[in-house]
Amino acid sequence: MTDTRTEAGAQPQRDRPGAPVGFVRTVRSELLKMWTLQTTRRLYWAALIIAAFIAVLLCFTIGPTTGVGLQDRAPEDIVSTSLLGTDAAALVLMLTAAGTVGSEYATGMMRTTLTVTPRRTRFLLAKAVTVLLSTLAVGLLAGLVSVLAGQAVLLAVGLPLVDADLEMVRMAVGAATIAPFYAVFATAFSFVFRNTAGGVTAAVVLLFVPTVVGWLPEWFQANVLPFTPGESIHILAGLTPPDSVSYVHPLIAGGTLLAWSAAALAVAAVVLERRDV
Amino acid sequence: MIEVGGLTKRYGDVTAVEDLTFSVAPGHITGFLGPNGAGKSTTMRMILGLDRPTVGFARVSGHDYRGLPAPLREVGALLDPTALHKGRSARAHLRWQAEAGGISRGRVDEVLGLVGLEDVADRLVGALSLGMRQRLGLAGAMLGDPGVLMLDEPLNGLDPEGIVWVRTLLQSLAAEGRTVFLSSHLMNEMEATADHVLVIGGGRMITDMSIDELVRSGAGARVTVSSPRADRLSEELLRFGATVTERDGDRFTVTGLDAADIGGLAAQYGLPLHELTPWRPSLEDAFMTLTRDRGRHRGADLSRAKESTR
Repeated sequence: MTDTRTEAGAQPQRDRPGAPVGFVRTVRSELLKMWTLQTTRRLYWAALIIAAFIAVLLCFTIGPTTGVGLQDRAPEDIVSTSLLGTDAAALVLMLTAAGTVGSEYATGMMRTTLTVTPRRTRFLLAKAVTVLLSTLAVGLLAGLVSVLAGQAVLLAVGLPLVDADLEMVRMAVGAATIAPFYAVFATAFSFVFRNTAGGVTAAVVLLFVPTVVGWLPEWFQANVLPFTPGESIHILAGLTPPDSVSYVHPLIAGGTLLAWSAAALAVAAVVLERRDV
Repeated sequence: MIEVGGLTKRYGDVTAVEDLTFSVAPGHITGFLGPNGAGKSTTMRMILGLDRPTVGFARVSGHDYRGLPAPLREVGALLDPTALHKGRSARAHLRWQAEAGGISRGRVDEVLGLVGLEDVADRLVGALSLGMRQRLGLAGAMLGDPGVLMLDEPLNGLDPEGIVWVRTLLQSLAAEGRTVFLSSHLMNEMEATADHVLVIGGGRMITDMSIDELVRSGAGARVTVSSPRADRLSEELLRFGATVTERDGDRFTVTGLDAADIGGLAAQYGLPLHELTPWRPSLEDAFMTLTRDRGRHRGADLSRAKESTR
C-alpha cells in the first residue's frame, strides 16, 4: 500500500474526508460510464449508419412509392424525406439511453452506482444530463448525415443539389431534437420500470399520442394537440403552418417539451428516492 | 464505526431482519456470520442506504449513509462482485467510480496494483474470472482509502492463495485503525480472519462476541487432563467452578476452565501434570449449535464429529 499510516496495533484518529463531491463530478462519471461501454459506442455509430441508410432508401424509393419522383418534388420535400433518417436514428438513441439505465438494473450494477452516489435525485439528473448531451450531439450529427445522404442520392441520379435555406436548417435542427427529448423521457421511465423495455414503451406510447389525438374532434386538436411533444417538435421544426388549428408560438412549444421532460424526471425521482434499489 | 439500532426489514409477511442492534468498532475485523437467508446482505444494504429499514436505523461514522458528503472516501463497500457491466474494462470500471467519488485518477492505478490486477486492467470485465472480479471489487472498495470497509462474502471465488492475501490485507487495514466488517459463510476462514463475530439466523441476532468467547462458549470446549494425582486435582478444579467428567484412571475431562487456568492451578498446588490437551470445537461446530433451527434452509444433519485441537 502506498499510504503509510501508523504502525500496526495503534489506532490513529483518521482524517475526515475532504471536500464534498458535487454534481459536476457525477455528470462526468456518467459520461465516462457511457463512453467506456462498448455497446453504447457501437449503438451511436449504428444510429448514424441507420440515419444515412434510411435517408438514401427513402429518397431512392420515393418515386415508386408515392408516384411523385425526386425530379418533381420541392426542395423542402427532399430534405424532409431525408430527415426521416434522423427519426430512425432517434429510435436507436432512445433505446440506447433507456439501455444505460435498464442494463444497470439487469446486471445489478445499480447497487454499486447508488453506493457511490447515494443522493439518488442527483444521480438521476446526472444521467439525464448525460443522455441529453450525448443524444443531442449524435442527433445533430444524424441530421447532418441524413441531409448529406439525401444530397448524395440527388447527385447519383444526376439532379441538382438542394439550395439550403434557413427553413431547411430549422427543419434539420427540429428533427435532431427528437432524439434528446424522447431519450430523456425513456431514461426517466427506465428508472420507473427498472428496465429498458419499460422506458422504451413509455416513450413509444408518448410518440403515438399526437396520432391518437388526431383522430379526435377538432376541439382536441386545438386544445390538446399543441401540448403533445410530437406536435411541439413539429412546431419547433417549422412543419406546422402558423394557420393550423394546433399552432402555438414556438416558445410555448419549447416550454411544453421542457414541462414533459420535467414531469417525467419528477416521477422518476419520487419513485427512485422512495424505493429500495 | 458502524452503528445499527432496532433494525428491522419486512417484505410483506416475510421478516428478513428483525430488531438487530449492534455496533462495529474500528481497529478490528468483525465477521458477520449466518446461514443463507439469515439477513446478512439485507442488513448490509440497509447500512449502505440501498434498502430502507422498516423500523430502526443504521449509521456510518455517525451519519445516515445517504447523508454522507463524500461516501466513497468514508466507506468502501463490496457487494456482489459479478454485478457489473461486462463490456467495460477493469480500469474503466474503477475510473467512473473514482470520478463519482471525488477521487484522483492516479488512485485507480494504485488500487489496481494493490490487488494485483495491473496486468489485466485493460481487459473487459466479462473476461475476468470470479476471483479477479472479487479483487476488482476489493479495489473499488479501497479507492477512497476509507475508514470503514464493508464486504459481503469477499472470499468467495478466491483461490487459497487469494484468501490468505485478503485476510492479511484486512488485518493490516484493521491494524491501521479502520473498521472492517465482512460477511461470510466460510467458518474456517472467519475463524482465521475475524477478531469479533456477529452471528445471525432467521434475521435475528444470535450472538455478538469475540471469536474466542464464541468458540469457548459455543459447544463443548473442554480440556483433557492426566495427572498421577487425579483425585486431588479434580477436587481443586471443582472448587474453582469447573466440571469434571469422563474419569478414566488418571485421565479426566474438564469443562468451564481453560488449559491455562488448569495448568496454573496444578502448579500452585504442586500437582504434576502428564497431559493437558485443550479440545476446541471449530467455529463451524459452535456456529451450527447456535444457529440450529434458526436458519431458513436447513440441510441434513451432517456428522459433527470433527473437532480441531489447538
